[in-house]
Amino acid sequence: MTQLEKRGIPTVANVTSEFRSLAATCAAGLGAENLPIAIVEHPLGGISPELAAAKAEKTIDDIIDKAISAIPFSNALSEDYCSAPLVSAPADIEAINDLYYRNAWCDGLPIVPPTEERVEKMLAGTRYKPDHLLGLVPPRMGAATIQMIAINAVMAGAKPDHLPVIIAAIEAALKPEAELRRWQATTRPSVITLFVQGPVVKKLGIHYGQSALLPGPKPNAVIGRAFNLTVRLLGGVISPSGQTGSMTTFGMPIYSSCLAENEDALPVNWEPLRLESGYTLENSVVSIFGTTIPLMQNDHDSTDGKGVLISTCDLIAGQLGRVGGVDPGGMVMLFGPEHAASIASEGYTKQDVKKYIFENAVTSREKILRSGLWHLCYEDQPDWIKESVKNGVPMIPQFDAPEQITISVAGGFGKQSLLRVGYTNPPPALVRD
Amino acid sequence: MTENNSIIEQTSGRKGNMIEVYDPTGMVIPENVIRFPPRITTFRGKRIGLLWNSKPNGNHYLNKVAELLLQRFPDVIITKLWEVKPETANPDKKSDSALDFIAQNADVVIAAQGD
Repeated sequence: MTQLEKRGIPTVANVTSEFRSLAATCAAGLGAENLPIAIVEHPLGGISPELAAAKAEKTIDDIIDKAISAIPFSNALSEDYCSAPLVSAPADIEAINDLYYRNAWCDGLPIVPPTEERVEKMLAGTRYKPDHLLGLVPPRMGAATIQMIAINAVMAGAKPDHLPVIIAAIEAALKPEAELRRWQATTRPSVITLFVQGPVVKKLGIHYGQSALLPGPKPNAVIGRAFNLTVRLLGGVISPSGQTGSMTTFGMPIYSSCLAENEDALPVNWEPLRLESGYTLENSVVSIFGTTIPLMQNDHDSTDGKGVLISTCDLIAGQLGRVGGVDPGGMVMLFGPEHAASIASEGYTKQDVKKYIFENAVTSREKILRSGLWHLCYEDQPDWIKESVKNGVPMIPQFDAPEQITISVAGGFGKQSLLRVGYTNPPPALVRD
Repeated sequence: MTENNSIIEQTSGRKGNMIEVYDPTGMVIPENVIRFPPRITTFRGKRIGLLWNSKPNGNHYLNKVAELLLQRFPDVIITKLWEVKPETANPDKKSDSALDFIAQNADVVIAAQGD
């Protein structure tokens, strides 16, 4: 809508009632506060075409009114973004937490109060100036200054040493390829995982081996929580009930999702992930996997690497729709060390694994057509896939190209790996400490 | 101070020591404040572009909108954009060619955006 308004075309967006708040937030963040929006009783999807059409009879007057009514003036730019506002609060930990909870300024768990003193100490962990602006967090377009990130890092319980990793994670999430707006405004159960790589992992004690994602290790917990607080609070993802959250139908109980690459367990012929992006072994980086919920690859039977690859392809092929055609980021496969060793012992490089998965993770045409995502995502499919489906090719690849597949190693012992089907998979960001 | 003053005052009205803490949501910087074009003053004779984002039933909803508009304003010219330019129905970012097409063929756009 905003793109059309910029081209001089007046618009009226019809949005269902459950999306009223998100639509207004998105419009304001895009500079179109007061964008005309007609509200339709939720839902439109999942009901008969006749019922959906009947809802137009209730909104038609509103549509006409919104189309011809003048738009109120917006003064959205009048605020100074460089310094965060201070508010008075009782000097009592329970009362402060009550204040933050009532204002939807937290994730529901207790926070460390971000006083000036604590935030100043946190800022000592970075060489960035406090007013340095990393970018704007959609959909609200909250200003991600270093100071704002430090405030959220204090709240999460992080230490100054953690701040450079948190900043890098936010930087990665704000890259255009990350399409953060998609994660923040979706009805899907999105989980953003931070994948830290390089010397900073051992320096800070970020867990990468056994149970790396289990709650407990402090660096993983507070770095991931600081990231989530920052993107959720600055992004303004407010659920219809008014509490911090998102438009995700179910959500996920994920306060923190952070682990590191298990470089110790990388097979000798598998290079660290950051080298694929042009970084060196001396660099530390953070990758962002903006994905749906993790899926278990639980293969105990295979006695060789080929067997693990076959069961991996079966797991991927069972996903709804075409993974690569629905989400440009494709997928991330975090092999457990034992699965990785089995595969690599047979000479498979990471590139070989990607090629194998690309060629063998295929799903029947009929299943793709009835997945519930084919028509919605049709325009995103590459032409060769559209042609294959149109011409009745029986089995359809899950990916557009091997490059949509990311491979690494994490976790500890056990015949386990983890599949993350992703929205996007942006380039990593450098940790500047 | 922030828009949440009323809540802050309710909470901070208790007796006892007070401290200052930061509002962690920060300030909003809209990407570019849009200067809205003038609205239409009447539907009569106008070209109405109906824009669907491929979500289920949005097309049926808009078909009904078209029918109702034609009942009230028989001389409107309605274009169901998804039928004449399918790429306009992409639920994500619209391409320049899609936006150009819409801008050239509509005086006002009515869109179905929801789930």
